[in-house]
Amino acid sequence: MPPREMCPNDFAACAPIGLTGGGTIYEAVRVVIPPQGFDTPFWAGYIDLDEGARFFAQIACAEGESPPRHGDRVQMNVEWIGTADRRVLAPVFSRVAN
Amino acid sequence: MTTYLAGVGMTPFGKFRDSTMASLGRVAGRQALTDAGVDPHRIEMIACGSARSGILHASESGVGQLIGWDLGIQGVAVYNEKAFCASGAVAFNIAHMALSSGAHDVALVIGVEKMSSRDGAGRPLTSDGMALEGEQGFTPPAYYGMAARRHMETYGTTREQIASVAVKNRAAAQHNPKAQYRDPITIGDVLGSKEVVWPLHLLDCCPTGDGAAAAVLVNEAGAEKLGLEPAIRVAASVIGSGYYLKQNRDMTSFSLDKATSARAYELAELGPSDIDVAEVHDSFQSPRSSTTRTWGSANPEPGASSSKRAKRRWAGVSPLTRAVVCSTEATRWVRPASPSSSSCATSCEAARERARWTAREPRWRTSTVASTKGISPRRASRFWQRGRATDDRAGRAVTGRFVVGARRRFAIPVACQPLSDVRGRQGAATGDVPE
Repeated sequence: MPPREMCPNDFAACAPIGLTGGGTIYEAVRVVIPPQGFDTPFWAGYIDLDEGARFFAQIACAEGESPPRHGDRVQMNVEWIGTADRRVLAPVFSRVAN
Repeated sequence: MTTYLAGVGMTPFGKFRDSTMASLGRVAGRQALTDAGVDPHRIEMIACGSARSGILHASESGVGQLIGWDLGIQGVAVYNEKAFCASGAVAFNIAHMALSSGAHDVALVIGVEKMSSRDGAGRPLTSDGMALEGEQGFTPPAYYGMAARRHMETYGTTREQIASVAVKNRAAAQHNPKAQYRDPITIGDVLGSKEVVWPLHLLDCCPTGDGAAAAVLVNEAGAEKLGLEPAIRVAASVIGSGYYLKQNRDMTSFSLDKATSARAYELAELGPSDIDVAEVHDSFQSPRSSTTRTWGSANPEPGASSSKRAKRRWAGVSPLTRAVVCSTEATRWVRPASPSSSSCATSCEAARERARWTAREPRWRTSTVASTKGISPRRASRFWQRGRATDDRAGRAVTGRFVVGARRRFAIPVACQPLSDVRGRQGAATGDVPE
């Protein structure tokens, strides 16, 4: 990230590839003081996608649930995030069994 | 040609409601010119670093020109540099290159940032190319919080060790009249402050503030033209960009930092053991132990023991010795030992000012301390290293940790400058920056 249009090794045009949505958490944190655009604290982190890219995204973690950790397997969903008056569809990862 | 430091200047750091990028830069620039004894019209180039003037103040490409206008400098080459936290260091690097090559002989370097206000509300400040991450809630503390968690899990670093960096910084800041926050804090204070992104709490994070610093650099030809005899040689200045093709994904250390510091040591023909004092920049406390380890000044072995040793080593960095001048240019993290401000762009120049205090006037400072205590400079030095000295003029005890490492030259900043009225200005914005 961010995506490239050309390969830096031979300058060939890059072609889109499909993602399975599967990945592994590299590290995750709870953002207690949410930035502008968010009302409540949330978990987020770097996901090492199975296809190789490292991707920052929010991670689902309900109150009382064990916190996301390094090495947890995750799967991508698409959910609404943000404040009520400014919501965006974004990738949100949920933990799945290893 | 060789580059020399001829003069320096720096504003106090704080929230100056009425200040502007130009006024901050002017104050620091005037101090540097006066300090060097150089008339503004003798300046041949300006290098000005500022990271956030565009997004915060709609001042995109002419910050150096605005400051030059205020200082009465005209018709010269102006280089405006933007490199996030390294902006001030990059401006210094540009001037160093220009003087080393002989393209110019006399340069004014300025680092300036005004962080306490912005035009309207907005998302947290992030790097270019991170718009998508911003939409998903990315914040800089989240990044450093993850780095801290990785470090803790990988090396066994404890939460208290991370907090101890902030405690150490405040211990130094209480003696720095230009620091933004000067009240000493404890590990309990840090852990008890508001949580931002665990493990980082509010007192682990840099405050937002305004400030500027400046330096006048000359080469041999410039010194001859101006009749100067500068005493501080710039041993090395190295910058670099990230390694994008083969990214090192380990967040516990930074390959770029290793590379630039190694190159600087090579150019300066120095090693980590030669450095008496290092001033390290970090916006958040968590990776500090990794950066000191990265650039070779702490125990290279990973683990908590490394953090402990690093903490001891940096526990009382006194604001300088001659070696700092080398190290100042040797890394991109050199920064006031106090957590004075988030205006990272100015940090390197701040270190330079203190470098000069000792390097050019060691006798005065030594004798000042000696007279304060009524003991010989040599004996005073021992006292300080043992942590038993008291600065009567400051009216409070100064712990020995504060001056650990001042072996060659004896420097105590509180004895170098009278305490100014900036002490006590914390939190709320005040008026304009003092001239």
